[in-house]
Amino acid sequence: MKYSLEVSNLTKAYPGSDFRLDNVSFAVPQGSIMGFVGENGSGKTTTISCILNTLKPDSGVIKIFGEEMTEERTDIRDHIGVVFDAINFPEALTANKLASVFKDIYRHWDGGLFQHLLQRLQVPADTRIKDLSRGMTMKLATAVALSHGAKLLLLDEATSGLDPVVREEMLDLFLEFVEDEEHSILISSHITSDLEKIADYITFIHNGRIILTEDKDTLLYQYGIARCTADQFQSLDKSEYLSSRKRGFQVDVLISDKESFSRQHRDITVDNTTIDEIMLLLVKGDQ
Amino acid sequence: MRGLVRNNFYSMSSNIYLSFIIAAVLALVSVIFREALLTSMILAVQIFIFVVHTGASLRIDETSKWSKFELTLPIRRHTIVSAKYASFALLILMGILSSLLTLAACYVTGLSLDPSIVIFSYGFGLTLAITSAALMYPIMLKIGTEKNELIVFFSGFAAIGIMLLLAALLAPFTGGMQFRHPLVSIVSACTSMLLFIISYLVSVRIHRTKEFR
Repeated sequence: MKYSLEVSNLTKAYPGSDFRLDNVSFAVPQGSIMGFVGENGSGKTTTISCILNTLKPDSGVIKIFGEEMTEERTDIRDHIGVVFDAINFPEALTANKLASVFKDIYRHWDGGLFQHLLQRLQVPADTRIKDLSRGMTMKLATAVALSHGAKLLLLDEATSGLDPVVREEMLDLFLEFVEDEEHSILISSHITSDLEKIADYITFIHNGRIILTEDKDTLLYQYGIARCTADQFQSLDKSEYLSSRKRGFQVDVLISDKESFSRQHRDITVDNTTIDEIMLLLVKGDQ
Repeated sequence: MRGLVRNNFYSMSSNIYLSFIIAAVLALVSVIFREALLTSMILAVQIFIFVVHTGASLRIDETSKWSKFELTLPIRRHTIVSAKYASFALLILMGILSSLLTLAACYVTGLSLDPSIVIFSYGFGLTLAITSAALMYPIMLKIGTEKNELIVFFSGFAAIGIMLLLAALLAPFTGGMQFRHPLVSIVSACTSMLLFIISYLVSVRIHRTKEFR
């Protein structure tokens, strides 16, 4: 399998802070969308910032399109589109002025495609960025990310704070982007319902550590939550579940193969799960 | 680098327009008052005024996270710094051009200026503008842009301090400490240019290891 992005044993600590990225490793297969999930402060932005070299990793290797990503590799960065959870661009500029800046920076800047995306997303081309709404700013950032021949998109909370209509428009664009099987996306988000719609793989990060990477369909169709009584829970072997969480008289137990679990424990109810519930159990539950 | 310089000018466009308006008003003031000393100060201020707003622009770039986004572009970090210094140089050039407006106005209205006053004005203006840019950018890179107004003031005062120091050092050649002596102006301007080059090298070094969260 070819990978667009490979992160191996990435570590990063901040001076004066207890937080550190601890041997973070995962890979984004070419042609896929990887959802990057974790609570606030779990290390999503730090990981993406290290990948983009805006933060200097303490150790680890980052490979993009099979080649090590370093400060010198402007040729690699030419094929990366980025959207941060911020305004991203100088506020005094308009979309049209931004286009005239980027045509001198990106080797494959496609002005026609940019204008087409602005029209499609209904982003005003001559309004200053500081006068745009947050949704418009994020749509503009997405249009920029898609207009220079990027093969990999790194999206850090690109859909957070947006209304469902705008989010849906953005998700459609991301799905169209990966129709070309050379293209891939790493998207961090709190909104797991978005990831359920578009992601092929989900990576969970917690306290700077990767706690699970899995195919999304496996998570949704193979994983399950067993609703146990205290006695039923006591009878389970630790190897049968990934995590558990006591909720009143009930214990929710995350299991990785609900069919096989149900065969062995016919008296225990096993529900389908969501990415939100999996994250909650992995983060808040006892491993 | 062209794209980054263009971006810097788009970002500062409203401040540049404002600076041009102030420079034009100052040129008018010099014509109305027809006072040599006032005109010499106006020339210096006109050269300096375009650089003054760069602190605020750097602050805006940081709050919008453009400074972080820039690093994701297919350019090297030293190119980002080079584009900033090229923009500073162009701003100073704009200041010089706007000061020529005052000189032209003086010429047209028949106000004669002593060449030594003109040399002092340009030397003082260039020292202020170049030293301010040279100090402001690396300091803001190092400590952040929150205190940008304070850093601009500090840079301006440091420029005057450098000129006073040079006036003291050159006193044996200028017949006593003379702030407005052409030799002091020329040496100050040359010193500030040297400082500008050193500042560029320091900024490249700071930027190389700087992290943008």
